[in-house]
Amino acid sequence: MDFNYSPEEQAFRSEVRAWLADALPEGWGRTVFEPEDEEERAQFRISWERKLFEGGWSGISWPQKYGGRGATLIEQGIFAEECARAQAPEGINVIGRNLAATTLMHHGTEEQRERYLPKILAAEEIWCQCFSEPNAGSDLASSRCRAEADGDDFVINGQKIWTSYAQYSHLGILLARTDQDAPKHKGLSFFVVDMDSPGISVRPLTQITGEQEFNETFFEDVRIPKANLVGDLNDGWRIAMTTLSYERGAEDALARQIRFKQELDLLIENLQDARQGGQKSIDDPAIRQRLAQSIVDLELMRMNCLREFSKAIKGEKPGPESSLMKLYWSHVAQEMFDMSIEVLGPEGLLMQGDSDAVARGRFPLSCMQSRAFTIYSGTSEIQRNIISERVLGLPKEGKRA
Amino acid sequence: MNFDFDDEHYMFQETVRDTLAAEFPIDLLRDGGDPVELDAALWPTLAQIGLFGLMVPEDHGGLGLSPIEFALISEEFGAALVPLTVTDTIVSSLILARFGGAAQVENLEKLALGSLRVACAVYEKDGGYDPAAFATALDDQGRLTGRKLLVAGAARADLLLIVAKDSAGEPALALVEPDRAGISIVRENALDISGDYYRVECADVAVAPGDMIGGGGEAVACLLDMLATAAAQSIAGIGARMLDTTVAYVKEREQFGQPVGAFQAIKHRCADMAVDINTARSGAYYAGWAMAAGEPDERVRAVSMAKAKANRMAVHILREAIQLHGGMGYTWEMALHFHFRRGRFLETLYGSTEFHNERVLAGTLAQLAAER
Repeated sequence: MDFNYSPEEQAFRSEVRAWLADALPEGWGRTVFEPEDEEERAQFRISWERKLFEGGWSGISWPQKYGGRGATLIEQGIFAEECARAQAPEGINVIGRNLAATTLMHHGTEEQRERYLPKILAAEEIWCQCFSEPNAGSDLASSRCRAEADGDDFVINGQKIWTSYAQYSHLGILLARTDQDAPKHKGLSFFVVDMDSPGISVRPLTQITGEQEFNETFFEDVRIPKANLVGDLNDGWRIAMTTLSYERGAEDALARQIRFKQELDLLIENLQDARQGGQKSIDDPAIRQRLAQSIVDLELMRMNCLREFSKAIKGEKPGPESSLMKLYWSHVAQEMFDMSIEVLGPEGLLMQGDSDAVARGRFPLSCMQSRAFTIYSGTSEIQRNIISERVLGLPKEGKRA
Repeated sequence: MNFDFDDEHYMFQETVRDTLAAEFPIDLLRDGGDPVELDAALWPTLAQIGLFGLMVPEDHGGLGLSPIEFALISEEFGAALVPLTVTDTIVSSLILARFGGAAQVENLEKLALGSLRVACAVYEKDGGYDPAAFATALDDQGRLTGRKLLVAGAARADLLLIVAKDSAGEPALALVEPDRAGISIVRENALDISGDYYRVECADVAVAPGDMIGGGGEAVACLLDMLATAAAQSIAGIGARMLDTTVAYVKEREQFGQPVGAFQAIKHRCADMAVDINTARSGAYYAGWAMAAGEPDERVRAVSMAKAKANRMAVHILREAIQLHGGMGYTWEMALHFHFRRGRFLETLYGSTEFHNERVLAGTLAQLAAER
């Protein structure tokens, strides 16, 4: 066990830091920010991802044969930490890099990997995830979207929902039913779908924040070549579980932890300058206790990630244990954002655009956004089912008379 | 960067677990066994596998390991309810090795063999958790006066390691024999009944300069941080044991025609327990590393994070463990109360959540000020 970074890791950190300082505009994060308009922001993020690729920073821990650096997860973590420190923009192709690519590395054919992975790295192709349906959310295995073989193609009919970034996506990973008669987990297959195919329509959904990241996606006689099947026919559920364990895993969590910690530091900074009643907010013992609890919770989120990284480096694959991480971070982050507006007092309620708003109104916005944490990538209730049944070995709920 | 233990340390942990299961079953406590007698029987076995020399340097006959490896052992101590006098003795060896210098070589050699029991006399009535606020002190004639509470195993100890202010008013450590004139030791009736605790009263006890351990305030801080770290680790072990016990019970217990563990109202709570234990472990292991290798600022922060989290976890897990056993959980026979008692004892004795939270916040503010 050693929490010190090796000389190689430190050199890597310096290299990342220098590159970021050079690549980001002067005054970034202090006077220069991301565009406020959602469409402009999306384009801005895509162009940032391309810049990362050109600088050689895309797919740091990917194998070299797929265009990555072949670096360790620790270096991947260092990169994420340095991006956060520089307040670098987030990417938009998260699903491509973290979910589609990792799933294809495990289950795709060599042809599929060669076709898709380089363009994910280069942010030339943006991906979305077509898993959930209006009647198959937590009960994902009951997906009804159909894929029927027809000559060299499959023909897709059905509807998907919560497809984040579908409006910007070139490709999607799709879970569809290929056997109507098999038990529900055994009749699903996993596909890559070209989102520009005729018959696909995307309708944005407005979130509780007023933003429109996610969508409803409709498939009407959409033709997918048979070569786009990933893994074996009717083996889609098992493959989707790989995807989900990455979605809930340590790499994803570490990047989030860094962002959360930044927001908490910003909150503390604002409370140091703020007064409530007769005293400085930061001197209020009750506020100090609440801040400390979130500091502890978020630092231990990082420790959980590092423990998982060390296991992964030893060769352990992510499994149902990744639900322990997701269930943990989603709740502690939500509590932190709930706390943030409470401790700021009345001015904590002012949102972006108001001249009295604290930190450009990001705390009330983050508080709203954090409602999603305990719902996406599997609700907390589903994570608890996974942990209790697949980690602790408790029985499934019986069908009683 | 590597946040994992070596395989050989996991193997040592298993040896300790198996030894404790064989030599120190909870049935003995449940059936009315006196922890003093149980401990007397256990001690030689622990000495035999070298546990008391765990953190004694190899050239003094120990295993030369660090608080990193002790984390896994301390977890087992928690799970098996090993009396705290064992932990106190092992922790003392670390402090004597770090701060005692050549004067303590003989004691370290005895410690490594398990032939020396040290009791840590730290806390006081009205003293809280900050040693700067403790009343026990040496006067300028070198006379020690004060009263310590909840000193584990003191009546059987060969030496008392006492936190006291020196004649300059600074926190320091004195190492004295319990039979020295002016020391009286009385057994206390404490919440934890799987160990024995004593009030240690010192009235004008003569303390020579040679009885003082070097290091002053830093030695005291290290002792308190190591005791808190060990407590956080033992709480992780208690949590894990309570979850195992609870999961086994709800798999077996049937109501409404199915195991109660199949109901989401039950299984979801077990899942939340698992999450809490996993995270508390991360904190407890990290604190072990920080005790071994961290700078003082990082050590204080890591220890307090670990203990604050372990405390919250202890309250949560111990509450749920009894609740999910239903009426059986409230019986003496089920014996969950031993872990409840020990867990809450460790939670409260070595720094409350509020105390450790405040240390974390103060450290964070200092760090942010330095970065500005």
